[in-house]
Amino acid sequence: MELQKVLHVEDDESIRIIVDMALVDLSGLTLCSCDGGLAAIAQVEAFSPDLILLDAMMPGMDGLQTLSALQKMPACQGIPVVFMTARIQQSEKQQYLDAGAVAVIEKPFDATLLGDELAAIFQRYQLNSGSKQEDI
Amino acid sequence: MIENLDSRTPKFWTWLICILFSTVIFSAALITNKLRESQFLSQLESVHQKNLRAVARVQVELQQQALLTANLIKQNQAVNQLLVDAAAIRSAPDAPAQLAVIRENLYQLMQPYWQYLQPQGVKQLHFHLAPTATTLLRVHKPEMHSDVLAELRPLVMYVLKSGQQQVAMEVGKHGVGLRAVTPVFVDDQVIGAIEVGYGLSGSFTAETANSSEDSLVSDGMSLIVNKKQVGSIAQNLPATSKGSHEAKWLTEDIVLNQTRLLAQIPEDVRENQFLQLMHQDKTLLVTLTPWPQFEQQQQTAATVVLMSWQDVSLLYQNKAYNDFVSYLIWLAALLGGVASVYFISQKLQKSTATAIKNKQQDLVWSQQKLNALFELSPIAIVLNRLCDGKYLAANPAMTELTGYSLEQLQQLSYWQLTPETYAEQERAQLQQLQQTGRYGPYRKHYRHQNGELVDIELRGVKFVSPSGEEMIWSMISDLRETLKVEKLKQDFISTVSHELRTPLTSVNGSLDLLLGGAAGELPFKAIKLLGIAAKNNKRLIALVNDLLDMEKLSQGKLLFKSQLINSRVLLQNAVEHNLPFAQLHKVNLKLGHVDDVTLSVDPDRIQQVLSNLVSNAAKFSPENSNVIIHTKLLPQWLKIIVTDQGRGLTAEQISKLFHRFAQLENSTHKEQAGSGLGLAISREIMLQSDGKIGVESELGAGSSFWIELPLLERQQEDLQQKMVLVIEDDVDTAYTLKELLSANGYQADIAHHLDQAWLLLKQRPYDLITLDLNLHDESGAEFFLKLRDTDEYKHMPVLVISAYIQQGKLQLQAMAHTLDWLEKPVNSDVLSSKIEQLILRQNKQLSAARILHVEDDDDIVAIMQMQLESKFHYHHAGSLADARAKIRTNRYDLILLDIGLPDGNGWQFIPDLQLTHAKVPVIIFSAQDVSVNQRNQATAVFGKTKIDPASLVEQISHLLNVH
Repeated sequence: MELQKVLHVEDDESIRIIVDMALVDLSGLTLCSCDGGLAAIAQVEAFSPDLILLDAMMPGMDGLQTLSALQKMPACQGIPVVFMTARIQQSEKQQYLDAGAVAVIEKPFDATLLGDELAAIFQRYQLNSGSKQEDI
Repeated sequence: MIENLDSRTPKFWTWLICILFSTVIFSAALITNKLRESQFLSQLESVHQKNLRAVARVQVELQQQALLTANLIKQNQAVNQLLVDAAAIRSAPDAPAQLAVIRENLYQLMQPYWQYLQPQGVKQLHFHLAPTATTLLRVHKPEMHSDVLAELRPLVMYVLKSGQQQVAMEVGKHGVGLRAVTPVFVDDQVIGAIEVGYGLSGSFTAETANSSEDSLVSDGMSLIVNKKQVGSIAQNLPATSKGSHEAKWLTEDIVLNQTRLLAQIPEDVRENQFLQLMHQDKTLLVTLTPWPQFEQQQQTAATVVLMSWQDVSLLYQNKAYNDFVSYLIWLAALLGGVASVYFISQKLQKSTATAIKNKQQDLVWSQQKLNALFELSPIAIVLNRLCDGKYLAANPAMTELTGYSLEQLQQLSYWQLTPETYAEQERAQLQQLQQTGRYGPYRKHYRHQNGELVDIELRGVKFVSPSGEEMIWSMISDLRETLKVEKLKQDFISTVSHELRTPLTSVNGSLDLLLGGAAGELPFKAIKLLGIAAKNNKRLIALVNDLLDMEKLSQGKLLFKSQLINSRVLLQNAVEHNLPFAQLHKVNLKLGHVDDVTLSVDPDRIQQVLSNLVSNAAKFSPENSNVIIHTKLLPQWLKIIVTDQGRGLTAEQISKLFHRFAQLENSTHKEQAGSGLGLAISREIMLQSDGKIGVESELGAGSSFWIELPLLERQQEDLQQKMVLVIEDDVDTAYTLKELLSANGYQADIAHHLDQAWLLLKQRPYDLITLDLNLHDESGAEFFLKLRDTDEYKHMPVLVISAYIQQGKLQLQAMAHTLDWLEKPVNSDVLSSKIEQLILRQNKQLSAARILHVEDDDDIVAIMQMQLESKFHYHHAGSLADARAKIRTNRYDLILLDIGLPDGNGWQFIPDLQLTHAKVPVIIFSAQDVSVNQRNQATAVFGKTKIDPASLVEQISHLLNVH
């Protein structure tokens, strides 16, 4: 299965626009942009994304809290979450992975390559968990 | 304070000087006194000698006078004739009548003489006839004559017999007198003698001309007679009537008669002597000279003594005066000495008292100062007893830190405030304290009274109290604030990095999209401008990254994940990563000579350093020049050198190069300059990797930037001679191999058959075995398999040297690791490089990651073991119990876990891992279904039927960073 729908959670509007252009215009993906954790929770079921791209630092609900909330939703089971962070401390990166993120993309990212990168992550994720799903 | 400690010494010296001074004064006074005393005595002696001389003079004068008188009379011819006549007729019958005539004539003839001589003190004038000393005439008594004196007058008899004149003192019944007797000769025959007798009394008194009745003259001379010696005749002495009856001595001297002076003269005078006698107010020095009588024995007490005296009152007065002065000086000295001793001791006491007072004041002051510091110190200070850790003193900061009051603390020991987990650390610190006298600084926790743990840092010093008890002074810093600040700083960096990166991300994204054509075709000028913007934005991002790196490095916050990596791999990666950048700058980036060694480093960090060095080299090199990465093997280091053909550097530039923001001035490559932190970061990374960094450069001749990475200890050993066991039955081949090995720096032993090989293996450790598979009667392959089955030689590198490689490979198919092949005939270079590679692989193998596979299916175990064994240490547990036992005693780097196990569910094993293997990746490799929640507990989950073993190994390798 190819990556088609991405739910993007990001409080910074500029980055939302850039990601939008990068994923929609350049990579031809379907994107749902949310300005925070609450919006994401509200949208996720209806949108049913293949992958969630989640900013780590946000006002109100931050990335980890949002992840935790999403993980509890039945609709989100099996959807890979990719974190995007401007913090480059190794410990934090590990923290996101430990929390269940499949990958961490560091800011600043290369906008022209973002779509390809997400597609690769998605593919890798499928390789690992796809077999598992077939197991069920 | 310290000066006063020495006050005892000056006090002691002052005392010593005082005692010496007093001794000197006393000795001087004593010596002076002795000198004066002897001087006085010699003065007395000189007076005595003067007296003696005077007496002797008078004595001699008198004797001469007497003799002269006698001889004068003898010179008269008439007198002489009369005596001759008298001698001639003495025995005639009518002698008396004739003698009477002669006597009368002689008497008449003597009258003028007698008249003259009497006033001179002559008392007697006798004429004696030989041989019996018959008296012819006594001029002063003419009527007495013709008596024979032979018995009575030894003096006269001596002269008559000897014919020699004689003068002597005689004590007769008529008194004391000096008698001179001279013989008269006829034809050498003594016929008679003339005797002149001087009365001595008064002779000496004449010397004392100015004598008066009552007082003694200051000096004088007198004749005294021993009363006892003269006995009855004393009555006849003319002067005795005047002497007092108790006097032992008689004299005719008026003055002496009146005094009690004589009473003081001892009866027994035998020789010259002097006395000091008191008379009235005067002190007299009296010289006594015995005047022996004729034929009198010297030893007997003198009858007649010449007494001569001098008034020495003045001398005595002088002596008394001098003594007085001397005593006065003495006394003064004594008083002075005592006084000075007293004053000095007073002063010393006073100064000592002052010193003590000052010292006490200093002490009090010092104590006040220290106490104020102790009380005020924001750092807790405590005094503990070493033996049991009991708190003896603590300042208020300690109370604040721990919540205990001083009184409460004094009931506690520091062990009670230290959580038990620190027992080991605490003992180590105590050991340090005993060894070096100091401990710390080290961090630990104190348990606050309220149970909270307080972060503290301690340091202390041991000392011994005057009573010999060992104590510890400790200073305890409260780290809570520091740690809070550190946390704040960390948060700040994190926030800034986020806050800076977010807008940079937008700018970067926008520019990328624009340049990437997201907004459609752009005019050329716009692209150019956007390119500039993008490039500078990237610089800005690099700067932020570098700043954060630098910050983390200097804080020691950047984690270094050391792993074993081959130097060639590391450098190939460096070339690969930097090739695009080099191409951009149109320089040729190439690998030069590379030594194959295994390094234990964080490859990402070293890559960062190498990228920095290579990008610098690329930036500052002319187009089409070479940038070469090569290595040099040093005894303990691998030196990686990046050589360029750029402009080179001056010494001054080099000195600044590794400092922060050290971009070279006058750089013609301004637009290519980075953050200026690159080399500083590189230096920090090298410091924290236990490595070195440096540069060798010459202006105009290019630069060689280098780093040195420490070789593993094993490799350092490897540089020593390695031992190779050659198993080869053909003798010639064996020796050829041995020579080849020796030429390549190996030491080789030869085993011609397998028994010998086993024996040698047991005798010494070998690094490698070369094995000929086709031995005469034995199978090399079997030996190899047996070797692999022995735990000891399981990983022993083996190089199979055979003419039939293909056949061998078939025999040993599954045993690929630490095994290599070399076809005969052997090439020296290939042999050496194969051996090196094998040993390197072996080292890698030894340090390979350890995997625990928890699985009950033996087939899967066999498959996975085969797959994993070549890269990792594979360990297997067949049950949960087995797995739990294994993790307690072993350390694993990865757990491969099955869910369905004979004694339980694999998930039950995950909590057990928390204690000892919390960070260790866990891969679920199971056929069972896994929920999302369960999935989160594992690092990765793979379905048994869905993934082939090779892919699983790849995933594991990826997780363990092994490529």
